[in-house]
Amino acid sequence: MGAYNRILGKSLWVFHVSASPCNNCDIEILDLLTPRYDLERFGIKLVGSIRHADVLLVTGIGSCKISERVQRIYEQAPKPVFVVAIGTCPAAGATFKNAYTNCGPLEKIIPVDMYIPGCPPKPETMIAGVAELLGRLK
Amino acid sequence: MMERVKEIVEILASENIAVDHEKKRRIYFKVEPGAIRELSRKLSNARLRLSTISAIENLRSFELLYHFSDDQTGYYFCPRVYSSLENPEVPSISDTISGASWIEREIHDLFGVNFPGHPDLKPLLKEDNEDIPEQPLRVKRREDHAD
Amino acid sequence: MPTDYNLPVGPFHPLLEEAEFFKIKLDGEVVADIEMETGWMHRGIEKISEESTFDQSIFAVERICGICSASHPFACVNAFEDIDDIDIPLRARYIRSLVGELERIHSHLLWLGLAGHFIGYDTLWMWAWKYREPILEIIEKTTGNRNHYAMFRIGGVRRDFAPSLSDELNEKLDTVARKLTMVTKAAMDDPVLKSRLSGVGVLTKEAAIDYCAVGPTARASGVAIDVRKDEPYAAYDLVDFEVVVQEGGDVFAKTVVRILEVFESIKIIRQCIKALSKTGGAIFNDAKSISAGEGIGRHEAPRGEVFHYIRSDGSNRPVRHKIRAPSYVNIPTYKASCVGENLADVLITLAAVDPCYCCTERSVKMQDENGKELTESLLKRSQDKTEELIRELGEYEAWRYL
Repeated sequence: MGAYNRILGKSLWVFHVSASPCNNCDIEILDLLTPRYDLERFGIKLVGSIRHADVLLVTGIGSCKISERVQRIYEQAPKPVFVVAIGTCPAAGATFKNAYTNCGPLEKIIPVDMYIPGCPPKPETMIAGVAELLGRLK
Repeated sequence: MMERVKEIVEILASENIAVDHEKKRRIYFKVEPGAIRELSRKLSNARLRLSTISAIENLRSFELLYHFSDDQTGYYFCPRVYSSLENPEVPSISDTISGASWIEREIHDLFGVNFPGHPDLKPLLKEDNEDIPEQPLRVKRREDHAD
Repeated sequence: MPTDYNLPVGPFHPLLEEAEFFKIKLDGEVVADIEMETGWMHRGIEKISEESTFDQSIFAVERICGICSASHPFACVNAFEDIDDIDIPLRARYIRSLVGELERIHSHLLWLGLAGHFIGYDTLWMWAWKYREPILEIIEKTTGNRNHYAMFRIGGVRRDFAPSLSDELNEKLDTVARKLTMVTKAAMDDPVLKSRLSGVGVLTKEAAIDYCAVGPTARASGVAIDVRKDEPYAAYDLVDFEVVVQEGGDVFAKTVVRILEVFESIKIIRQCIKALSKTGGAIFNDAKSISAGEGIGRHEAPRGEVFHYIRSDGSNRPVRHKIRAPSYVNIPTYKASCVGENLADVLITLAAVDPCYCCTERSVKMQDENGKELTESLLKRSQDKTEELIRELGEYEAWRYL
């Protein structure tokens, strides 16, 4: 796996899964791709299809209705796939902990490799998290 | 009171409806369930916009509060419709105001209110999922406190 | 060969953002009917708010949407203040308007960028989002966070506006206004963009009224409604601004409305900063309790009127908290604007209402007229082809080609 991961680390393709978030982390993820933060300089690219993805960025609490779809998305992803949970919601539920539609936290639905907490995490935090992931791959 | 507001209050008077509660730019009044269709047609003809419908579960009755906004004056006209708690049912207004369709579907979904006349009352927000409670916004009353 | 088929799109589709599920019924390439399944994002905030105390529910409603995270608390405190007729100090009113307008700018720029992205004009996306960053910086300096500002409390605001920020803010607004003029010219005078968006997804005035549409969606169809003018709250009766109305109803008109509104917002912010330098005093009136009663609060969010209805029984929790977001009434207008359009135009028409949902055909399931999935046969054919190649070339050679 070592060699594979080393090559993978040069160009991570990410797919963005929104599992009932408030949209805020999602916007900040997009923000990472635009000129101010520009994640693409690390070879990281947002892709449209799960079949192309190496990393799943999951935001939101994982509501009951969407959790089954998130599972399916995870199964469709080519392995190895790294799951990064962005925001406090997938980690602990945040404000929606007691919501009747909450089927989270995310680790009950799919295995999680990394958490980047915050409500929302600042773009700098997310870059630090991604850099950490890249470091682990080397 | 402004001319425009008087005009609308006259429409209400023609339907034998008396304003029961008035506050700064908010007018509330009670309407029989059977009369809501005719009233909403008249109000929307008078160019009032249906903002939304609030469903409220009271202790002994079920209440639907329609919010009609008059965008020329900033007034809100809120007809109040009461129904039974066990089997709430109010005629649908979605044929006169298309915007009401989703609102009624949501109330049917979350509160279990029946809207006779609505073409398609399928759930809007939740799917068949055993993890989500039925009619989640209804107050759960314990059996032993039922009486 | 049947010409009509169903095209399910979503709930996860390649174009970013939230999960939404559209069922598009096509006749050839023309949309015959469109239906949408919602609820993927349902989190039951009304219930959470009813279980929280008044102060907590403002934080809860803030998390309805990350893009409108000033709008919902704004409408919510308006509703609380409507119950008890609480007065707000003048300074707090200006700060509220300031935050509300900053949010409108960042939201409209966000939409402009995404709209560009949806039609394949990524330069516009990068431009719009690049010039959105200074606005987010201003927001961070004023409120303490890039999103989820937590600025509102019953009776006023939580955080004062530092006078030392005025100059910096004005300077940044100048830059943004200058750059935006450039972007506007590049976008609006672009013949390609104009022909791509004009006449696409027309929402007539009658349909807009019938579907109770609000905000830019309604204003682009000639319905001049704006809560800021119709029922002035905060400092909106003290500042001078225009309501932007267009008659076209198509995507281009919606774009024009949003871009011009950004300039109106900059105008309002400048007036607020000027007024704040002259007005002193407290930033909140302490409200210890909410008496029994009911109140309606609303705010003109970037996407239209946000509506909150709160009933209190005199305790410290709301008995009922009804929330109606602007997209809720704007989204059903799809039925009026998409039917009869070309499939390629549906994408931008759906996006024109609200920046959030969009779609391409990547994650769709193809179905034949009996509803049978075609994906399986496509997959089967692909596998057969691979096996054939392996048979012909031998495994090693085949994998070198694949």
